[in-house]
Order: sequence, then structure tokens, then C-alpha cells
Amino acid sequence: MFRSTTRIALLVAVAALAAVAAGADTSTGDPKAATAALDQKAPDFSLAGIDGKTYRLSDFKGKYVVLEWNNLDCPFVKKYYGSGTMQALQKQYVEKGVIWLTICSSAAGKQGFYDLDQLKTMTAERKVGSTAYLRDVDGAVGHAYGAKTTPHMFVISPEGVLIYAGAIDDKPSANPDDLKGATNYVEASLNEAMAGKAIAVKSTASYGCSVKYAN
Amino acid sequence: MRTRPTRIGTTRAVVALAGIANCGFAIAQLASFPRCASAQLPAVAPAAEPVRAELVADVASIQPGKPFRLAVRLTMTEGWHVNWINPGDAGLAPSVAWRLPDGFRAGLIEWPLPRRFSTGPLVIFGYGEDVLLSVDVDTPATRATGTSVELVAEVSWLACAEACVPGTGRVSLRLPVETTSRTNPEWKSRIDTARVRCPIQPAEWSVDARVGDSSTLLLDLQTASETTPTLAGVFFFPLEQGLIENASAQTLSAMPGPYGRVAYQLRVERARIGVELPKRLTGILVCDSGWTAGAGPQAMTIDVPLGY
Repeated sequence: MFRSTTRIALLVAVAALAAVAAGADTSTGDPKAATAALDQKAPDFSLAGIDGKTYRLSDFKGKYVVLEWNNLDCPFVKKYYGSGTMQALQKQYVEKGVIWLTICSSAAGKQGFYDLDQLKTMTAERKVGSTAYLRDVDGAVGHAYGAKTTPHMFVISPEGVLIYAGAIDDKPSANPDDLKGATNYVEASLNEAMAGKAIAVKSTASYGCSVKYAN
Repeated sequence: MRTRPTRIGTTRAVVALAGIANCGFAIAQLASFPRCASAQLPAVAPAAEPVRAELVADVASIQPGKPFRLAVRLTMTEGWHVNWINPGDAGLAPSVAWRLPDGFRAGLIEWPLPRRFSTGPLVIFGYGEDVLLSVDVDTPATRATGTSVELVAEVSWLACAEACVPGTGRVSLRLPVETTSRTNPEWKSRIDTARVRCPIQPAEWSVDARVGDSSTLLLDLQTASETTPTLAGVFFFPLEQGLIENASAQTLSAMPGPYGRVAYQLRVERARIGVELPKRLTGILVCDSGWTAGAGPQAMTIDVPLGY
């Protein structure tokens, strides 16, 4: 009796340790295992892309990485995609060697959640130009980064350090007319970092729809 | 970490600050009021679901030179909400652009005290049911009586339930100009009720704010009153978005204060990735049990230097 209890306890402990270890670098563990902080190493994760490949942040060491939180049905996201602005931004930086990961943390059944075939069609229709479109259905990566809105943008340096977190631009609005004259913080931070300059605006309050996590 | 706040955050803070100086907030407790009689129903924005906008006034006629109170009323379909000045974790504050006749001047919007809405792990500051965003309007003394004026507001908002839908409405209200203004008792009552709990600056309370550490802001509350009320349900709503962890509990602790009185400290968790800390902390400090014993829910204006 005692032995079996001990054995179960040991198994539980081993499982817990495994979960913690997994939580540090995958989306399946405790979301609180690692949380993003500015100027700190960005939490590693691995998520499946709708292209069937697995994308792990740590595989992109040496490259700038942009994380873009996405929900294709959110008006603030539509503002950027309907106008082609997001696609142009993605194309511009992917061509410069930046890894641009578009992440959807909508829980199953929530707005923005679609099956893989639907997402393939929708991202093709919209000519999404990011490196990959990833699903984070359990929200673990969203929680690790504190992603609150769509869009919510994060820029990670080639050293794996979080160098920008926040809004996509300085004109909080769902109106495409407000794209004109807006300062794009992702563009600004990437350009400054690539030029070896200090990043003037490293964090802002993001704006948009709430990320549709499970309740 | 020193980072720059978003432009809108700063702009909003300035606008709202001026509003606070002008007694800028009130609690909306309007749900229990009967609906307006149909004869008095003002112009309604067409096809404005899930939010209906209308323009209402506390007068039925305008007297030249005499100010009156004008309000944009937003009525939400059940389950939907619009945002406060600081929307919390997501969303956008409604905006109002006044289109008033020459010589008419609208003051600053008084934002009623917001509610907190949870959506998954996020917390939104805003209003369900309905809200009255009211202003004082100065009228020109020279306006001829026997005419009428059309008051117009262009309103935009973000309505959210699970999904978010931006909306706009052009709402208008035509009022006659008469030698003596007539009250609209229905709307005067409702607008007055919405304003009755403007944030107060209770003379007996003093508040100091400082940065606790990398993760906390501390608000120290002291009272000069001989009898310190037991405070319950205290929550700080900052004007600026991105300053605090909106979903985190704020903890109030009592401790011995000067002259044998009780002092309080409210611990507020800073945003884990936040905007640059401001030089002054601005917002409203709500106390469900009231800042004076038995007062009921009250909000206190906070506009104090943020110590480091």
C-alpha cells in the first residue's frame, strides 16, 4: 500500500517535472512557466503552422522575429488586411530575412477560430505574407506573451530578446482612414534595431479586439 | 524600464484630466428608470445595433445665454458593452464630435464610473445596459427667440460582446429657443442621477502614490477623520491604458496611521509589459462602501505626483 502510494506520488512528481520542463519551451505546459518581459529573453515556444510544419522560436536564433496576434474576423485586423497594409509590412520584412509569425489564439468555437483548411483558404485569399500562420488554440503562447488584443505585436532580436511589445501603430482605431499618417511601431523598432540604434518606443498599450481565449 | 506611452494614452489622459477637474465622472444608475415617453423620444441613430445612440437634453427649450446639459446616451443590447476612457485590456473609448450652432459651446464629457467585464483572462473597463455621456453647453445670449436650433453629435464607439463591432451614429436634437427655458423633467432627472456620484475630493482623505517595486504601485490613504470607515471594494482605475494589470486583484491593507487612526495601503500590480510610468498618477479610486461611512459607492479623483 505504502509502496504503491509512493510510486504514484513519484509518477505524479515526474509527470509534473516533465510538464514544467515542457512548459518552458512548448505550448503544452503551464502558461505561467515563462512570461515575456521587455529586454529579457523571449519565452520559447513551438506551434504548428497551418502549412503542417512546426515552428519553434529558438530555431530562429540569429534572426529578427515578429509575432503578430491575429483574428481574421476582428475589425482592427481587417483594417490592416483589407487595406493590404499588413501584407505589405510582412513582405517588406520577410524579404529582409525577418521571421514573421502570425499567431491566432482563438479558442475552439471562438471568433477567429477556423480549421486548417479554412485558414489555408482565408490566408491565401488575403495574401497573408508572413512566414507562417500558427494556431495557439489552448492560448498558452498568448498567455506567455500577455497577448491581449488583435493585433498585438512583439519584436524579438536575433539574440532572442524581446525588444518591442505593444500596439501596431499610434492611431488606435478600426478605421482604415487612420492608417494614413500613423507611426507603425513594428516598422520603427525593426528599422532602429537593424540600424544599430536604440529603440525609441519599446512598449505601448496595444489596441484592438480582445484575444478570444477560452473562458 | 523607461518607455514612451502611446499617443492616445497621453491625449486621453489630458482630456480626461481636465474632465476630472470639472467633476468629470458620475456613476450611472439608470437601469431602473422607466423608459422615456414616446412623445419625448429624441432623434435616434438609424441601424445602430448592437448599440443605439441618441441625443438628449435636460431642457425642452433653450433660453439665450443660459447653459443647459446635453448628453449622448448609448443603449447597449444585452450582452454588449462599450468602453470607458481607458478601455482596459482591449477595446476603444467612444468618441463624440459636437456639431453645434454658432455660439454654442460644449464642455468636457463627464464619464460615468465604469464597470469591469471579464472576458477569458482579460478585463475590460466599460458600460453595459446604457450610459449617459453628458456635457454642459453654453448658449449665446444673442440667439433670437422664436427660432429653433439643431444640436448634432457624431458619435463613434466600439461595441463588444464576444466579437467587437465598430459603430457610428449621427444623432441630433432640435430644441426651440424661448425667453425662459423649460425643463425636460424626464431627462433632467436621468442626467442628474448619472451625475450625482461625480468623483469627490473628500477633504478628510489624502492619497499619496508611489512606485512600490518593479511590479507594484502603492496608494497610501490617510484620513483626518476621527472615525475611519471600514473600506470595502476599493479599486483604482487609471486613466492611462497599459499602466496596470487590469485583471489582477488590488489588495487593500489597514495599518496604524498617525494619531491612532487607521491608514490604508492599496497595492496595484503594474502592467508586466507596460507603458512608461507617468510623473503623476491619474484616475479614479472607487470604494463600494463609500469614502464616508454609509455613503454608498463613491469615486475619488486621483491626480497626485507618482513618487519613485
